[in-house]
Amino acid sequence: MTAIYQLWFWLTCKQFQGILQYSQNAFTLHLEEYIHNDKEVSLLLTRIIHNKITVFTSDFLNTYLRFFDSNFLFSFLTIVGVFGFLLGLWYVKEKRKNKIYLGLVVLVMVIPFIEVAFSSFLPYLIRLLLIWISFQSLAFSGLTTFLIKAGKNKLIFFSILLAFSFSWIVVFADKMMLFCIK
Amino acid sequence: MKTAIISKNVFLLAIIFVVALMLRFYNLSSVPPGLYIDEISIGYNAHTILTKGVDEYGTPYPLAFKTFGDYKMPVYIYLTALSEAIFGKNEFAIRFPSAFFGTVAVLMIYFLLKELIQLAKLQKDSFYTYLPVISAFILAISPWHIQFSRGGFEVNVALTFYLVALYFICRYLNKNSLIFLLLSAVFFVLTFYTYFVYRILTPLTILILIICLVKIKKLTWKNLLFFLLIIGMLSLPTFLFSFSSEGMARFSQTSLFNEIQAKTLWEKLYLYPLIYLRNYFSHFSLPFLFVAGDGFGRHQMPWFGPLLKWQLPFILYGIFILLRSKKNVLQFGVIGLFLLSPIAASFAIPSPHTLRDLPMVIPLAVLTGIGIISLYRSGYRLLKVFVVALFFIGVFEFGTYLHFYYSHYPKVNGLDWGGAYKEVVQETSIQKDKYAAILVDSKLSFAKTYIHYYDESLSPIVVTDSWVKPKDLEGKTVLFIRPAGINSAGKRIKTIYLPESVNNDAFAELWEVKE
Repeated sequence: MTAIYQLWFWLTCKQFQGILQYSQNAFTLHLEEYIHNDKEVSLLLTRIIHNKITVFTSDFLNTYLRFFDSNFLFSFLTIVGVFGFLLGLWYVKEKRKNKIYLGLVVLVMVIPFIEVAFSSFLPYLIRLLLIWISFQSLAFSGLTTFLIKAGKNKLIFFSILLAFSFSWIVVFADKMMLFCIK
Repeated sequence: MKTAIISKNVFLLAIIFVVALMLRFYNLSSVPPGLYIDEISIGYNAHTILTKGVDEYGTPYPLAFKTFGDYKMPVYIYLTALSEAIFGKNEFAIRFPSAFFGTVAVLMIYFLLKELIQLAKLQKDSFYTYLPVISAFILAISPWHIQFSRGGFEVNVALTFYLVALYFICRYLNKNSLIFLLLSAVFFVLTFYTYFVYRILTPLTILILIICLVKIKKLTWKNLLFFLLIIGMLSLPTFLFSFSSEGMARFSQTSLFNEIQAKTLWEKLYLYPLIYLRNYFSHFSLPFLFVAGDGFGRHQMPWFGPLLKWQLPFILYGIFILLRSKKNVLQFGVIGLFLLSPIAASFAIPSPHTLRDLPMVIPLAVLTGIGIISLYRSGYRLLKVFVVALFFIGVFEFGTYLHFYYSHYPKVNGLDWGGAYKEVVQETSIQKDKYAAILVDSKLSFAKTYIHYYDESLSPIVVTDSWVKPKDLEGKTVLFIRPAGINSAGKRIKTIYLPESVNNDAFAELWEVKE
């Protein structure tokens, strides 16, 4: 239910915020700033350190890593979803489930590249659904495995997390706006 | 064979020590550029302690130093007094304790890991042979640790004391000698007197240690009482102070309970845990660790996170390997510290916070080491190639970091490190004899403190816009120090620029005012 509510919220957005997309303008500004600040530094050193490859790689990675910001994950998955997400990562270590979870982890790592690199080529809805499906799949799988053999204590713990999730949505609704354009 | 490995490790440790020393001491007075206000306050109080035996307010040898509406813990200031006695009253003396103890921390992580490995009975496992030396190297080159070792930051000294305390606890467990338990207690108490965060982190650590050690019968009740008695006696003054209104001043300013005003008990019961959870998990956020840190210019460089990106795959794999391994003391210690470090920092805002969360740099260095060793020894040639490739990327990234640190950072972040207050004071000292009085605009908030530190002979009058010239100054010419860009009646005699600004940014102006 919380996952569906979160998806509904994100569907009312028009776009992800620019911080989740690679920007050619920002790249140019960064490169110019670095070169400008390199007065009295040897030209060779400036060219080795501040060039299109290094600045592009740095900007691209920085943008990609924002998908693993705690505010984004809590806004996208809610608390119970993040718990499931972490469980999904944990269950990679269990040999039995290894291939399934490994596949989901690879998906989670690869899909954000689409938003970072191809935001102008694909509609928002498709990009949103790709990210939502990959992240939620890992979260759901983790939660399902956790709850399959759940005793009374685990169920109580899960209920508390769900309660916190609903509270989170109410209290920190503004945090979603950091990543979403309405 | 064993002797050869030990000799090799000692040799490598010596090299790492030299590297750590160079990275922390090279150009210490000039980079970061200038002293920020807390460093000035520390330096000034250290100077008055050294010369007169009192703090800036005249209190003799206090256990808490009053500064800017709250209180500083005493250890760093007394260390700086000692440093000023040796090196004189200058930037190097203020930063020396942090740089020195930061270098010692690199050695301590090595010795702590050696003890933990021995405690876990893993010393014969070749996997752990080089873990201490690799972890020490990672800490030596860690931007997070370097940043706080090169400024007058009490948290860095407290971290070293914390490591020493943990080392002595492990030594006690390995050698069963009471002297190590005593030393551990002393160093734990020193953390209380060094930085506020440890008033939460250290008691938590001690509690967890006691529970575990009593459970596995490694700590007798007699030794436990002895340990707690030492801690209790030595820390009593600071704990009494902590719960006073002065002691709570800093917590009141930065408490997470200020963020949302919860009125009813019900609101407090569900709002505060939520805010705390959000703060806690924010310290594990990848953008915080690898992209931008907490955003404060003094805590990391604008273009880098506290950690370098090449470490990320190793940290993730290190966590994976450690959790997958058989339960042992090393696993418990590293993962425990990794999860414990943000607990204290999460009570305050803003969160995440690179300074308050500094203890996390230790488990992250160890996890990086575990990741490197595991991947390299995995048996797959491709992974070995991956490790070697990441090594070269890491060398390049670290080189880039050093370039930014020494070349860009002083030019761009001068305002975070005191702006040009020093230059203002120096110019004022040259001009002072020509004028009846020296006035300082209150908008230059910290000018008076900088003036006290750099030239005690100056007696500035802090003025606001509504200030009225007193009768004894009527008709006399005064020197008026104002922020740059604000016009004043009188003649502008000097513009002070930020020392290394590439854009020639003006910081303050000196005006000659007659009326």
